[in-house]
Amino acid sequence: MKKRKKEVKIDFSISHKQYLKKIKKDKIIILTSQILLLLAIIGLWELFTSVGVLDPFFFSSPSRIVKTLGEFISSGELLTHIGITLYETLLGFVIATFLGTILAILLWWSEKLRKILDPYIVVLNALPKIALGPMIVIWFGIGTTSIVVMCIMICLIITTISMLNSFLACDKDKIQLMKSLGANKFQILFKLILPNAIGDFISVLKINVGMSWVGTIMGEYLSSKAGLGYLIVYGGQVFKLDLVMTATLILCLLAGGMYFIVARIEARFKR
Amino acid sequence: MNDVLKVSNVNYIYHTLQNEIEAIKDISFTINKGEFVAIVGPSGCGKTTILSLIAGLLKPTKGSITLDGKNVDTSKIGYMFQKDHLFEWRTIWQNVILGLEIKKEQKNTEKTNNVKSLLEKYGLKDFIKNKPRELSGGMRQRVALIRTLATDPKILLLDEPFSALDYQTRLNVCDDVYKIIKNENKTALLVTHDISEAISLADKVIILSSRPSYVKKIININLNSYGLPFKRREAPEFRELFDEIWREIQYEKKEEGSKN
Ligand SMILES: Nc1ncnc2c1ncn2[C@@H]1O[C@H](COP(=O)(O)OP(=O)(O)O)[C@@H](O)[C@H]1O
Ligand SMILES: [Mg+2]
Repeated sequence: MKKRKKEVKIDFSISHKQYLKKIKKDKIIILTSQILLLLAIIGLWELFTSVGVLDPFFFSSPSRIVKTLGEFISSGELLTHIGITLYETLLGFVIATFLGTILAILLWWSEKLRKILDPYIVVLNALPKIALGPMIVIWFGIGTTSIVVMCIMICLIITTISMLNSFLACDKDKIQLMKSLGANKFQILFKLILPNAIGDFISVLKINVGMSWVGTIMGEYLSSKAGLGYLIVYGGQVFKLDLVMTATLILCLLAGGMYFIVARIEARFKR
Repeated sequence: MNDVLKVSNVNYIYHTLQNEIEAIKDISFTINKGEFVAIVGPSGCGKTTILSLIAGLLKPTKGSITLDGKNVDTSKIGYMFQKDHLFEWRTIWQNVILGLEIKKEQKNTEKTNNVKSLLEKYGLKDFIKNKPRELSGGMRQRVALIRTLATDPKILLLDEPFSALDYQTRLNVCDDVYKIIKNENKTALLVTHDISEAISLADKVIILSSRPSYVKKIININLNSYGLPFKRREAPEFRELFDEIWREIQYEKKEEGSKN
């Protein structure tokens, strides 16, 4: 067989080269602006706190954050807290995404079940999950289990609803096509419905990345002995704003990193 | 008797919460082996319903449908839709063997070789590793046809397979699809609301009334000597046939108009 995807060296016209150049230039401008903006915020923050416009006791400051970070790292405490929060978040994220998808498959499979459970799902979805907090703490105790359960409560219903909608949105004619080729319900599920929903599944992953952090931190606020959420609450209670800011900053980096990984997975699938 | 498909006094009623809709009143016709038959009728008259009944995706309320003297078996039927419905996540090859895969015959070399030769014959061999989105509309429709042929169906059901294509492509794809179906000696039943398309492709045109539909008239077409469908549109008899069918459909509209 001929190899079709031959690398062809195309000589672009001058106008096209200019077009590409402009795109590249815009990209550089945007990236530099982003970096400059960050540097400006940090710089002004440091400046204002050091000259006394802002009180570092209430607003902390970049240098104090760096100092706190240094102490934390050298005492080895930081890694423990990060590890605990990351573990809870990932566990909640994976379990919620998995369970939610399984639930969506069951609901897709049986129209009866779907109709029976519909009002419950609607109510559960509308309920602010934080209201379940005290109940969860009483049932599961203080610590990791409660936090993971909180995280699951937050992500589960939205995962189920999104995935079910995606399954049900599959083109009726495509299902007819599968049937006309003699497919049974399992084959329709595995060869059509699930692969067809990959795009939506990745969107759900993206949403769940954010939601699972919300769940974990909320859980840690309610009941915890360690973790970044614990540090933030603790820091707030004893007025150690350096600690609050440092933990928040790390949280930003972690959540951003996790989102970035999902975005990479998405890019791979889009090819 | 060499009729492959026999539709006898079929009646079909859709049930919904609000009411029941009689889509098909009473339809009978037969299709002989190797014949190309077209059904024309106003939209909403129940053409898709008839194909679903023949494919066994719906069960007739009354009447019977037999394929080679036996009750319909969905796996003996090839169904082609308005859109090609190729699966974007599969390569062209994976798309065309979908039917074999469902029947767990994807390892049957006799069958896969047959598919390969179809792809080769109809100019798609170089694209088997490509994704559907890399192909033109006409090529995609050819791939969809080969996917249907892969399971070696007894009869092909085509539900307005060209109506999603633009006019130029439509005429070309129409010729292509016709050639493939004739080359492979397939029996075909095409449904369309395009009278010209029906005349240019078919050996026999069945005209349906509007819903609830019954067969108004069956007209034999004999334009084979003019060649491919596109050429047949220039046949001297074409105009006459067109008018005849057109009048049948118009007549009904007048009837309805006078009733109101
Ligand atoms: N699932 C359904 N439930 C109720 N009515 C239907 C259903 N499918 C089709 N119909 C009705 O049956 C009639 C025939 O439909 P269809 O066979 O799709 O027509 P055509 O293909 O000729 O345009 C239409 O009037 C439509 O409203
Ligand atoms: Mg239709």
